[in-house]
Amino acid sequence: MQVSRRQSALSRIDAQNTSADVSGEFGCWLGECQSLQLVNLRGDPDDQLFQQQVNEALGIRLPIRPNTVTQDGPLRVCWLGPDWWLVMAPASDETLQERLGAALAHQHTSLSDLTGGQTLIEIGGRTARDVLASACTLDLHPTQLPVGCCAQTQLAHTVVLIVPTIQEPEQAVVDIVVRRSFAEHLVRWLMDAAGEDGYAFRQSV
Amino acid sequence: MLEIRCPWCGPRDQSEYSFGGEAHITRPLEPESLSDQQWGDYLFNRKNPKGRHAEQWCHSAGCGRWFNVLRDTVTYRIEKIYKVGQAPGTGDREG
Amino acid sequence: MNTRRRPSGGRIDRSRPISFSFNGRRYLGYQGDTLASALVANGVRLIGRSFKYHRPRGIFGSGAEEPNALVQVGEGARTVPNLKATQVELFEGLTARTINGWPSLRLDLYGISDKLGGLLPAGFYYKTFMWPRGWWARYERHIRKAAGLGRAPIDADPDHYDKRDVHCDVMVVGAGPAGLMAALSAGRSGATVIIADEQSEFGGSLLSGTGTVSSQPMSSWLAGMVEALSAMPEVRLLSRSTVTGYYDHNFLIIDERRTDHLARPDPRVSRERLWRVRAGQVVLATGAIERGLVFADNDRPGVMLASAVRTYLNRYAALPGRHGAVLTNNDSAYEAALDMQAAGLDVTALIDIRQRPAEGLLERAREAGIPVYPGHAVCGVRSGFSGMTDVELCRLTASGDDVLAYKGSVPCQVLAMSGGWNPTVHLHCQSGAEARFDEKLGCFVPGDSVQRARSAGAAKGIFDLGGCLADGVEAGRMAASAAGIAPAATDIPFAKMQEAMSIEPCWELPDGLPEGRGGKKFVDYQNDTLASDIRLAAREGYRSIEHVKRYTALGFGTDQGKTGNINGMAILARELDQSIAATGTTTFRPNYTPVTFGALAGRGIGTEFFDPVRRTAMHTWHVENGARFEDVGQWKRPWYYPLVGEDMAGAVARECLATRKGVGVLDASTLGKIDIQGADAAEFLNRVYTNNWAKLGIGRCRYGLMLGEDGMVMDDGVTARLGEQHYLMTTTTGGAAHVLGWLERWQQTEWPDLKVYFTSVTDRWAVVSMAGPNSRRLLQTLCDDIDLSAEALPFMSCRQGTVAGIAARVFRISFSGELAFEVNVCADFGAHLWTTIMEAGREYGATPYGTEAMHVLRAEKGYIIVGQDTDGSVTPGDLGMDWIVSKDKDFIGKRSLYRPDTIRGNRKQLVGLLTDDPEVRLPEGAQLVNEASTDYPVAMVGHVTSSYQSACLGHSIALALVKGGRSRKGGEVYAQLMSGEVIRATITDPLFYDPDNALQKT
Repeated sequence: MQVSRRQSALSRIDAQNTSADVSGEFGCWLGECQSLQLVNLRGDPDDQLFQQQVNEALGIRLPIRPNTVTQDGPLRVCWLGPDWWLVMAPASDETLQERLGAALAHQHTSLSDLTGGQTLIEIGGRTARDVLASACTLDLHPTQLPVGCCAQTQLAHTVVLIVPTIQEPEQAVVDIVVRRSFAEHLVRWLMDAAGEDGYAFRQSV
Repeated sequence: MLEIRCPWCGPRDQSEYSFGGEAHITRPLEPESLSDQQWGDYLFNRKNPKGRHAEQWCHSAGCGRWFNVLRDTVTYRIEKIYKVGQAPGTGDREG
Repeated sequence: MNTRRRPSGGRIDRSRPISFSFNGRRYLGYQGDTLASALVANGVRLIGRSFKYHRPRGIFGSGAEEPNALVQVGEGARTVPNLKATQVELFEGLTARTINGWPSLRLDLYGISDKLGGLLPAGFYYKTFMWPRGWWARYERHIRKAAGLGRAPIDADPDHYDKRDVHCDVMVVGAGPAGLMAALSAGRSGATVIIADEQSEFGGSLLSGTGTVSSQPMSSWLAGMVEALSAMPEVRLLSRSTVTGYYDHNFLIIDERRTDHLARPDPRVSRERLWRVRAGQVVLATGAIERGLVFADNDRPGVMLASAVRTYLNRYAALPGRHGAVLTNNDSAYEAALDMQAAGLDVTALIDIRQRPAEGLLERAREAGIPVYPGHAVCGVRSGFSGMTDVELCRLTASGDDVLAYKGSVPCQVLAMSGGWNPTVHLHCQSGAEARFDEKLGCFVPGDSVQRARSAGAAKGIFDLGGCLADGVEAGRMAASAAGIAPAATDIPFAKMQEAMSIEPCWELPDGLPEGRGGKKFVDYQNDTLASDIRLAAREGYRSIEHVKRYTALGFGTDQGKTGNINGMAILARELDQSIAATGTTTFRPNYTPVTFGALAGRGIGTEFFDPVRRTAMHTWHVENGARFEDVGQWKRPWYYPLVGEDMAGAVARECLATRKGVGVLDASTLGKIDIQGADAAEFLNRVYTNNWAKLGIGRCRYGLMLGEDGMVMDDGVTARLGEQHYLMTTTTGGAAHVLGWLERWQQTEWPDLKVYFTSVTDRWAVVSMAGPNSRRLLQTLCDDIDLSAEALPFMSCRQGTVAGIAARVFRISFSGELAFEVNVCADFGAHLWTTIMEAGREYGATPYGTEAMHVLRAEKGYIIVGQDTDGSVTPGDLGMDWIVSKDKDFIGKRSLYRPDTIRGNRKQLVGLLTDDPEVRLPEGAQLVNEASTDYPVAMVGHVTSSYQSACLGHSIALALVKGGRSRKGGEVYAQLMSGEVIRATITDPLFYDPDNALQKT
């Protein structure tokens, strides 16, 4: 019912949305994923009960190894810090936060709904990783940051979470979670960096 | 530009970190029982050595954790990286 | 047409002629030429005038070492000064000019300074033009014009620049024989490799050489090699890419020039790309640079490095003269002599300073018909209108220190000289390692590496091709192995090996004349530093090479002394009667060659990407409704919303009055918001805020002041208790990240036992603030599930409910002193909430207001803004806020409030100021004094922190920090402005409106 009133971070971005290279090709594409809910989770990973309850509420294990992701279909949990995770789930899972909240009610944990406060930008294609390397000191080589890993780092002078999702060099896809207020800046930067080899911006992916 | 190994996230560029100054300065438990001199020492006086220095760094653009680094202020060589609460120089030798 | 072009050969593409201009004249060159090689091929010998003496200068080198041939390339905004002609690639339509010479290159009136040479020793300007005092500014204008080095463009840079961060297992610097082999052997091992070379094509010395590698002609072997490297997916080849800096922890900078060599570059392609490399291992295969010899008039056009002569002959098929001679102290220049003779450039003399060169060398020279003069030197140069015509020979004494006999002259248009080779240790030294003087090689070689690096080939003093190829293979293998990769076997290509090159170092050739009588002996061409200048510096007491450098200018300039430095250091060493090793080198600092500001700035040119811009969810509405924006931290905040024809003052006055009389609507989304959860949340708040948080009820809000441990106000904001163990803290817009970091730091490092988690939710919530007497009525129309009455929702409380159909948190807090509500919704609905409120508010006179009106409204109430009314030196007591400082508990900074400095009586205190004339507004930042006086210095007693015209009060108001201000109410201070104007003001309470605070509680 609220869908029409809802505006994602990039829904009104005022920017050129395509730029082809000399041969009319697009080296990469980028777009915003608008149908996610994002939940910030804090808790003690050494507490087996905490792990178990999260596991039961989500249906997947918490990633305990630094900079890794666990995934079940569209539901993903990303390691952000030793006691800190980001849960990414389809917006359609309306009971997710209730389930988590109920499971963790008596634990020393923290649950914060960040939906709307962060957004997910996908960038994919032949030049995707090169475009990211225009402003990211992280080693983005697929052997160093393979699918199944994630990393919080700086991209275009903003803090982001980088999550590679498809490895193949020609069709590589990387998800970038960024704070809402920085999203337009980030996308403009990426478009600028991608301009030389061409890009296509899709409003919704 | 230094490369610092976060104890959790591994080697990352210095730009992902914030510097926290000298490590192992513990806040006095009862500040009000301290003389002005003692409180002033806690507040302002730092070693600033030429050479080996235990200092705090925070992986602020990453996992957000504070940790300690034993670093040479002349060569910038990092000798040890260890977690908050550990004794100075604990942990494996870097590099 | 190219009068000095060999009929065939070279790496130029004769099917692609290129037309270019130099000093207004048109010339022809070929694809593959540099500006220098094309000028050589056209017989152009005079390229510029020297910096100080305005001596005619020609091309000296063939690459980054060039000191003389500096040119201004291009026109308008794209003009670049001081490029080395030896590094400028030729393209169609290139225009280049000499950088100095006034009024023209051939007729240089400043050439008079050459004749006055004896009067212009080192330090001349410092010694002479400091008198009379204060006249330096007048002299400077003329000196700078006379000593001009090109002109910077005046217009904004029209190009764009790129940066790329990259990691690799092995970074190979230099793609000469050693570098190529290092990259190949590391690459074959499976390492990720970057190999960068400053030149337009890979090959290094192979590009200028003759002969074979592995029985193939050099050029075809090279082509195969580059092909093999290109075929490796994990080897990145970067040409036109100079590794300019080697920093800590194996961090290197590569400046890749991508379009400067093109006549019509694609505008999408960045002009330069700065690669920021973090390398596992580094191989420095940077080669070696030949050094010149110091003799009388050694700067005349036609005097060149032997290696440069070979490069022009072999790589560019250009003849630097019709006849010439060779002057050397080592074996390597014999190759140059042979190449010259083979190219049809008549070698009139091979002058070897050594008494007994190796017999094999002499044999080869004689076979080629070259007259050899062992134990001889050049003691003078004869020049005609456009350069050298003859060189004068002398026989040296057995020691080589003096002239035994003058031997007349030989015709010579080009003198190819070699004083030996200096390994390019720049990057090795930049990495923090030392260079060590090798007596046998007569040069500085790399000492032990201090980072994960190794030098290879000529860069470490191996001067034969076979040796370089073998050393490159070994370096690549070792680098891969050190990077943790099992090295694969790589065959060493076969090339002529040499026994160690023989050299008899010679730092200055005698001319048999007393100092100051013969021709000038140049050590540093670009700075016109003479051997006699260095000796003078030593006589005047300079000992450190670093001081001598600064006194004589040795090694400054765009070439950074690449050909002259070591000669200069050796001359100093001899004058000080100490070893070269003891004298040492000056510090090698980045950058190896000049880098444009654009490359360093990258996307930071202009304002779009210099610093991230943060936008709220309502940003588009503000733009569409004419808001003027203000930068607050990284945020764009609406500053004010002018109506058509309205100025800022008018808009702000209207916005303030509308708020005080009806309802104003503010986008408050930018305030920092931190979600705090945990059993110890209240205890934590108690420790970081000055006031007490133990008894705050659920659904209630409290203002808090945060101090640094030094007792100074750090941040402030309202924190609400949302649940049993759940709080929402707000911070200042600019302080949000700092405060979150502050809380995390204390929790992690000092109080890990406290059970509390912090999460930034700033971006999650869009916040609309409604302030003014109509705010409740307006909100009521959009919210039917929260009782907004004063009884149900009193001042400083909060509720959850629904506003405009959206789940919302409603806070009854006020920064204006009016009845006010802040509505927080998920940012996705921020724009919807805002537009709904503006539409519903029409009948209540809802007016959007910006940060300026917000400032006026809060100043009328005397509410501080941290960072504006405080500056890191202000305590709560200074602000008159002792009421918020708890006596019953400890908190961060408390102990500092009892230090002698924080309890002294004359601290600056926050007061209000009213000017005599209600229309006069004090400037913010104005210093305050007790008496208007011109008897300087006048004691300053404070300064204005905030100042506005209050439409609601009908007069100006100001907040100020004044020494002992609270006890001076009713007294006067004066603001004495830069303009000379003096404004008198009366000290008042810092509270101008609704002193009982009744309105916000209605």
